[in-house]
Amino acid sequence: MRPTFACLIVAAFLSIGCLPLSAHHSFAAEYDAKQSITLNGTVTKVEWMNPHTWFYVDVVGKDGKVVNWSCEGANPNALARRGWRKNSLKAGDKVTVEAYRAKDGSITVNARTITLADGHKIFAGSSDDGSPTDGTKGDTSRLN
Amino acid sequence: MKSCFTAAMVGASALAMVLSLAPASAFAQAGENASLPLPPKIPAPGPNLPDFNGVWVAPYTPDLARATTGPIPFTPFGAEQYKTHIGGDDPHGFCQPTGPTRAIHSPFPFQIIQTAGTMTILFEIDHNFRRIFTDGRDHPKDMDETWWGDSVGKYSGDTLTVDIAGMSDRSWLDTAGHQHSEKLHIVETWQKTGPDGIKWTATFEDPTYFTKPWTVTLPLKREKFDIMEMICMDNNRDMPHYITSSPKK
Repeated sequence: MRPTFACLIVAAFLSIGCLPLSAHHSFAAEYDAKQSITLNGTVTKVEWMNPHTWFYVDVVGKDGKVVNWSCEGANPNALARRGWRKNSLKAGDKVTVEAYRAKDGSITVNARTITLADGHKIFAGSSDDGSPTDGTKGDTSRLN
Repeated sequence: MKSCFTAAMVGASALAMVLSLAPASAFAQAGENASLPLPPKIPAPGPNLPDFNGVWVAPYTPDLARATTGPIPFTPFGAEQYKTHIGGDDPHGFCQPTGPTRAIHSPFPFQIIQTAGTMTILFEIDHNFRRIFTDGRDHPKDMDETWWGDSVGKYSGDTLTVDIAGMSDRSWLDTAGHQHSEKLHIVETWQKTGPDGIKWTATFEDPTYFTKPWTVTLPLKREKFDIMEMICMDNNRDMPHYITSSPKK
């Protein structure tokens, strides 16, 4: 039952990943669909604010140095309507974040999914037009 | 796109089923948002008027080309503007106004408060509003061009037809980058299709950008929950990262 449950959660949230969650700027204005990245680390801070949630993750680099990554999530109202609350993600949570890097080279990403320590995988996506769904290409089909 | 939609439908029903099995955790409540406030009840606008009161939401449409039939009929100038636009220049990325129609097909719901002489729309996006005057007035003479323009409407049966004029060229029609001049003129219709549905159309006319008018059609659905606060400039951390047409220091 457990693997099936996990698969359904992943399928559900990745399918919701086809639906972008923000209109105020385009994905391509800021993020690079060709620069996917996976971050493993610990949440240090969560900003549950408009127009986008942001959460910050300490990631230990190959050189052993800790770098604090800024991860953009969806609008908090959109997340609330899907059952998130401001304390759903907390400082201290160990997470794996699948994301896309900012074009300007900063340690900033647009988060697509977050996997928690207990295996829950959540879609955190934001931005719109051109934001990749499965990470292999931009998806510009947006009509539900 | 088709598989995406199918996956979404499968996913949505799978999610509903699966969440009943989910272990207790903050995310076990995902989807269970019964604690969110419901919209306030507003009295009906009066006899013989379709009742548009309530909170509504359109399917999010960042690219209007996908909500119209056929290609957008650009003039050569319009086609060049669209081809060469830079996404980071989107005024709304800097929290400047959406203008009257882009707010409708944003991913955020809006509340319509409809009285006998005015239909007021309160947009969740940017905590902004728009008024449609239905008291029989025409556009003012010599209006200044503004972001939101001037909207005047007339009812006929179950349909409200709105004329929008007086818009400056500063807003973008959508996130994909379709732009317009100050000659933009929009005819918008709102038609009640049932207790919980509205058929919304917008016909865009702008001789600088388009060789002929073209129409977008979208279904609005009644939203279960009340609008929430959305302040665009509250914690906008995106602006320093946009790739724009202005050179960076």
